[in-house]
Amino acid sequence: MLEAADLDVFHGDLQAVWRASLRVEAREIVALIGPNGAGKSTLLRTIAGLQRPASGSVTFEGHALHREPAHRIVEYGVALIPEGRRLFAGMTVQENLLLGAYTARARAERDRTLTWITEIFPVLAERHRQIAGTLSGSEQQMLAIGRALMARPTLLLLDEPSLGLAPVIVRRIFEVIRRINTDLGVSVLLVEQNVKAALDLAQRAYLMDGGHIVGHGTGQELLHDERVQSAYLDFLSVS
Amino acid sequence: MGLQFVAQNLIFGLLTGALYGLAAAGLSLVFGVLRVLNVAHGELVMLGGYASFWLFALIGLDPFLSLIVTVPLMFAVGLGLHQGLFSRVQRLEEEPRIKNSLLIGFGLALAFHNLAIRLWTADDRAINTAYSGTVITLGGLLFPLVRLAGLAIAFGAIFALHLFLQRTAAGQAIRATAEDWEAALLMGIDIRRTYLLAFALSSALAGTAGTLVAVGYSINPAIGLEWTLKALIVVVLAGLGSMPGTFFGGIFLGLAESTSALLIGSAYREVVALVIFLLVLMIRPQGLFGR
Amino acid sequence: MNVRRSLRAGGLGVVVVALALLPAWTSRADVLNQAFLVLLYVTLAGSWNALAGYAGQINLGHSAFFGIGAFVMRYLWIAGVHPYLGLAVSGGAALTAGLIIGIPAFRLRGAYFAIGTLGLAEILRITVGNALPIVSTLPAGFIAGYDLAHRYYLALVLAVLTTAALAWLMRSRLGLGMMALREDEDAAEATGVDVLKHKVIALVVSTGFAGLAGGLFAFYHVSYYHQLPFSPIWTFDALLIAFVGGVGTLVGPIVGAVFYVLLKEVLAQSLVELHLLVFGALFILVVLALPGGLVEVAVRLRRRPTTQALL
Repeated sequence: MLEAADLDVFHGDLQAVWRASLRVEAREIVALIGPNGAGKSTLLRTIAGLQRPASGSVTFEGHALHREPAHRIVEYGVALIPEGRRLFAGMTVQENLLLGAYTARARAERDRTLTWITEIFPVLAERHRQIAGTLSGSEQQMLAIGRALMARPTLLLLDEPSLGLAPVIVRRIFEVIRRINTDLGVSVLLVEQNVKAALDLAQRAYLMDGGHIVGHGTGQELLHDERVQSAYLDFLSVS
Repeated sequence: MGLQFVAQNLIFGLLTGALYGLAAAGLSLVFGVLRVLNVAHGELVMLGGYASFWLFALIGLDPFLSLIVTVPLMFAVGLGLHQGLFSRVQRLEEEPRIKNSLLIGFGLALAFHNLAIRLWTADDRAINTAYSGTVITLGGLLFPLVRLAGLAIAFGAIFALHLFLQRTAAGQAIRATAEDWEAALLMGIDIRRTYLLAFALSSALAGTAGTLVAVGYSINPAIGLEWTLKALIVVVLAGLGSMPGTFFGGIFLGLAESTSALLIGSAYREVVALVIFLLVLMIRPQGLFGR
Repeated sequence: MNVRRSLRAGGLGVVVVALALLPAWTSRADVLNQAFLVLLYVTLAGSWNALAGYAGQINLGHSAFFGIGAFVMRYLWIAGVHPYLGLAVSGGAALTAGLIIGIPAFRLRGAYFAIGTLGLAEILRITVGNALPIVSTLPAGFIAGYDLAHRYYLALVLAVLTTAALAWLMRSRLGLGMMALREDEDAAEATGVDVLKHKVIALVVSTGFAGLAGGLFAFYHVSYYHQLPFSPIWTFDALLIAFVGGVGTLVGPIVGAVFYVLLKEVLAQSLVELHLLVFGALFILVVLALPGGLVEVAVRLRRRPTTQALL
């Protein structure tokens, strides 16, 4: 479904990603783990079109994404929830959600999607007139996910969804991601610091370090990979 | 000083202030969405005024009716200016973008100013219709009809703009882009088109203000700088993000000018406005109403 | 590198000598007047360049300092003070004003600084225009003793001084700090550059020379409206010349000034003020495509490494 091949991405003159290749199949959850600064976010942003790769390609269901501007990539069915969520802080919850359905394709089913989202996240319905910037961290994350889902994506990209959230909320969020995958059939590519939770959730995972993809396997395989074990001993105790 | 005299002055200030607000709305849109300072904004006001003036002088078109022509015309001018010039600095980082847009605006202002002098001479022009002299009297106070109409149109335009930004998809896209352009991109919003639309709208608003100035007061090629400053003052006073706030900021400026004219004479009216401007700039760059 | 520099210094030196000999070759008032204007613009644009080209701060209120210099000089000179002393004081007055204004003004960044200074200059212009709406004229005795060549030499000295000061600044450690903050203010601060100090020094150099230029203006003109030197056109002229010539370069203001006055002369034959339209268009072109201005064009034509892209 999604195939990234030999991507080289630069930040100015500094190379952040070196010949990275990965794939996500339909209805899969794939995790991308690795230390800080490994280039995971950069890779995700490149797939979403916020950054242009210097070389390499990104193909999604036959479309060549790496040549397209970010706003067109959304129309193909790829939605990114960026690090830090990036909500429209000055606008209401309702307005944020509605903006998520900006593309023509999504707008057609807007009301149906909205209903579905308020089922999973009832708090969004309660607070629909509230200014997004005044929501709590976990509510903001729910709104960010809800907003991305309004675009009716077939591939959801998540950049550190657990960042800054209490463990009990993190469990909830991951449960939602699982539901999105099983109920809606949406594929997920997930960048996460919370290695255990991510690898438990994902069918497959990639390990990234220093801009390179250095490991690949099923969730369980990577969980027991000694590099992961030794590097993330602390994280393994977080669940 | 009689109460009547004071009240009359304040009314004039209110009527003028409405036009300040209209001019400022355009500048606020550009600065809020594109994060670009167009110092040629006042020249767009001037051009709009001249467009209406010549339509009136050459074919006798009523200035208020001429808006049907001049608003799309100024919208098109905005489209051209953005496509040709301002879009080229959009991709820069914030500081160089603001600096370069400042400079481009400056060059444009110079070019427009001198072009206007060459084409139409430096003389004052005013649109004098059959009803230009009509004054409505209410409780002993005078309300010049054309200026009252100007107030109504300015208010209406800003209200329409407000509705557009709140209720339409394109308007919401503009607001989203102003909040966070990367997030807007991720919603599927074509931000380049959003920038273009915002700029063209601001030009149309400026042009409308120009028409109202031409019919209610007078215009000449040199009014550009003055109106850019007025719009800037209001934007700084009112802050970004609220069109109604900008309108009332304009009213406030108009009233402040009238009040100071009453207190220290009209020669220093501009100075008072500028001093308020500098004070607000230093104390609260985000304005009185802004976030 | 050193050869190039000495060649360039030598070239400038020859030009200065030639200019110094100009009154000996011709006593035609129109030639001297034009040359005076070029030299005045070199000082004016060069002074603006100090703040904008080196420290990266766009000062849209430059005319305020030009005006202050003119105002002080005119007053002192007519009151009987020796013109050289008057000039020095006028430069000092503008410099002081720069200090007073600069330190609070620099709290504003980028665009806000630009519009803040613009507002300030307008305040000054309107106030002077209201307080002194009349024309400033010279007493008869002063007119009788008017020596154009004298003023020309003063202009030459001032232009040389300005250029030399900028050249020195460019090579000094201060200059390096200024250019660092021009590129990226936050990064410069992070590497220990005292940003405010550098900005203020650049402002002081800029306003000081602007004041001297204003003083020269007051010394040169027989009569003018008091508010004229406070008019924003002096800021605009400085901007145009500095940019089209090559902002941030040493020779830019010189090249720009010559080009500006020449164009004004040529186009004045046919159409009034057309040179401003042309310069306005050139200016936009420079901002968009040619950050180094005419200097960059010349350098590129000789296929040498270009001047840095600015702003």
